[in-house]
Amino acid sequence: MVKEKIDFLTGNDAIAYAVKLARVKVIAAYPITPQSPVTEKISEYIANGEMDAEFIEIEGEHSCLAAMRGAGACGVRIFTATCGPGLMYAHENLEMVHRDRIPLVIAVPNRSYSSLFADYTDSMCEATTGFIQLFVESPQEALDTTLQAFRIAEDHRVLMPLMVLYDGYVTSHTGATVRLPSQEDVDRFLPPFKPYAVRIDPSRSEFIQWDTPGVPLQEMEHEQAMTNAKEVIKEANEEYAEIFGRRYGNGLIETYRVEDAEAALVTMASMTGTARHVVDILRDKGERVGLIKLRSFRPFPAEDFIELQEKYGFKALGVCERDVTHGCNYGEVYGDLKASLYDLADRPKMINFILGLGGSDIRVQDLQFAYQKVLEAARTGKVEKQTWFGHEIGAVEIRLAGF
Amino acid sequence: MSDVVAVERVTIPPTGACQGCAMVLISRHALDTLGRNSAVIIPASCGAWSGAMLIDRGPTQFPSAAAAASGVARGLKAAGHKNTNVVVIAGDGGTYDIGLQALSGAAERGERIIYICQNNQAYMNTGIQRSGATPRWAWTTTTPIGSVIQGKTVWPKSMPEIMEAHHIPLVATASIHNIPDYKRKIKLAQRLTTEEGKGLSYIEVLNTCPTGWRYSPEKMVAMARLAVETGFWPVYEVVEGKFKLNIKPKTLKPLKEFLQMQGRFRHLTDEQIAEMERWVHERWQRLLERDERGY
Ligand SMILES: Cc1ncc(C[n+]2csc(CCOP(=O)(O)OP(=O)(O)O)c2C)c(N)n1
Ligand code: SF4
Repeated sequence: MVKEKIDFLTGNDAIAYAVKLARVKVIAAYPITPQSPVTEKISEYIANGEMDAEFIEIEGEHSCLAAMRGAGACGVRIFTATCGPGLMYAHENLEMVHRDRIPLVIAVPNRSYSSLFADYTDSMCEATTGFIQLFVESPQEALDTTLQAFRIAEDHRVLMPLMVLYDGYVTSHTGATVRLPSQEDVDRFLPPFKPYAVRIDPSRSEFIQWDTPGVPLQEMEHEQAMTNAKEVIKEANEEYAEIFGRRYGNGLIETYRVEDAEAALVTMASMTGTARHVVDILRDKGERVGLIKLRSFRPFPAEDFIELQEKYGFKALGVCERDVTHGCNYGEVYGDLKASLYDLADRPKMINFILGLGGSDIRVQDLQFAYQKVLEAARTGKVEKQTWFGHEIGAVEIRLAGF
Repeated sequence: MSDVVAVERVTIPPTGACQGCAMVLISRHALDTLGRNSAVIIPASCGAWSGAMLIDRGPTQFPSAAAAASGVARGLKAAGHKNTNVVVIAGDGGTYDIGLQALSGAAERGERIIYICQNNQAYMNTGIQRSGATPRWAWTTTTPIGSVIQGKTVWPKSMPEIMEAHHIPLVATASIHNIPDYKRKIKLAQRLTTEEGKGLSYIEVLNTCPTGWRYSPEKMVAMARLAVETGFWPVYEVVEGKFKLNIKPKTLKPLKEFLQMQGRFRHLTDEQIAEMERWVHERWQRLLERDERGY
């Protein structure tokens, strides 16, 4: 039997608690809303002697990622958190952390650039930087995923940095009951960090240059690592379930009532809870609808979507996302998913729903509307256009915010 | 000065630097003095060509050398390594300009970092563009000699004074024509920063650069000596608040001698030379007064 405590925690506090349980050795951070409570909490743990770690109160996010890269090169477990403009400011060194294959875990309560509230403008900018990106739904999943994150990122088949992504304010600041594992159970799941290669080790006297191999080869190795990560994410999810009894689909995606569904929505992070509720309402009315939650955006689980499509033969899929690629009029997930399914003979009609930008609410009626649209597409075989919420039905007031 | 002995070479020739580049001496003497138990961080700069080393060497992004070094220092501590020297060798661009924020942060946090700025007074690695350390009126590729504007129009900032304002244990300048003085300062930094953990040490060395300054490589040491003897590059130290002018010529040589040896100052008028000399002498006077006071 595992020992657990139950507490009422926000997503931020749940992550800070996981970082303590993971026995992280060096943390650097710079404040930004809605991330700050994560590192405030960690500072308290250290100040109270509950956690034995170095905390670098750094002077900005660009430096923060450089410091994490430096500490990671010494072969110790490391963590940071940032979001929005902070994540974008760190871009140059995010890229370096991935190039050096440093298994940094970074918590990102997603926020838009031009507001303090949730959307994926920030992390989508980093979709090509080689970070694993796991979107989580709730404070519980945030805690569980943070613990799994160290296992995944530090696995010698992977060695890629990882972002734990959760909706700013919606998940970062909203309390929920969270099961807190005991230190000894976590120690069983997450043993001390065994670095693959310690780049900075003064006890060694061999000649080590940090120089990187040829770029094309290096890029292929990163791609292989990301492919490996799919298996490793699944394994971590299963082993976590064995010890703690909680499982998030197969680790990459999670399905809800997809059997016999003619249409389904793909959702991410906190909107998934609302979508489950809507599926239940529609199923009660006899509609054959289902739901697929995307947990791993990077690596993108194309094979899992293909398998689902081959198994269930959805007539239409709708992708709901809090981001848009300007100039394409669709979101990143929609583009990736459409590309993944393109080669199938029996491919579904697809609609993109851009919603929740700048933290605007994602309501039951919004997702009901989305289901109605995919059902129509399933039946008529016709897709009109992408749908931006806040125009058709969402309440959108265009204001100039001065943050 | 006899206490300075390089026990073992940790730097290996050859280097990728230009002929007659003082930077090679700056990095070699620092690292050989500090020895094996060191890790060196070099941001994008000519320093990247300083040659092979038998110690761990991390490249870092141009703006964040001191931040990367902070991470290394803390990471080494967390990994149980005691008394490892964490050394940054950065250019003036990476120190005065884009790297200033990271350096200031690390200094304020009291990180155990020995920070060496090799000041060649321009962005040399990208083709001799001006930096915050470029002297007034100097030619660079972004302060060209045009028909309307000739050379840099403003005075350089004083980075050592900025570092003094951080209340760190050691701020010093040095010159490659006096290696014993430079090595002594490196040893001092090792004691204050690495061994006693009193915070960041900052040492700035004039990096005479034949390529960017436009002079003949064999004059490297003569150039550095003249820079000091004319008061253009004062050599001093501030150790835990105590000031000392280390090289004190009785009278300063005419600045013109130093300026005329370099292509970057060739266009200067006599008035400009005179004004620059006034600037140099006023600073020298202030330093003499500080030396008298001892703080
Ligand atoms: C963010 C960023 N901007 C610009 C550059 C290009 N860059 C590389 S080295 C360099 C100049 C370095 O000058 P300095 O620090 O004075 O060292 P030096 O080469 O003169 O020794 C520049 C501008 C870069 N690498 N990164
Ligand atoms: S350009 Fe100047 S500083 Fe750079 S390597 Fe050549 S001589 Fe040295």
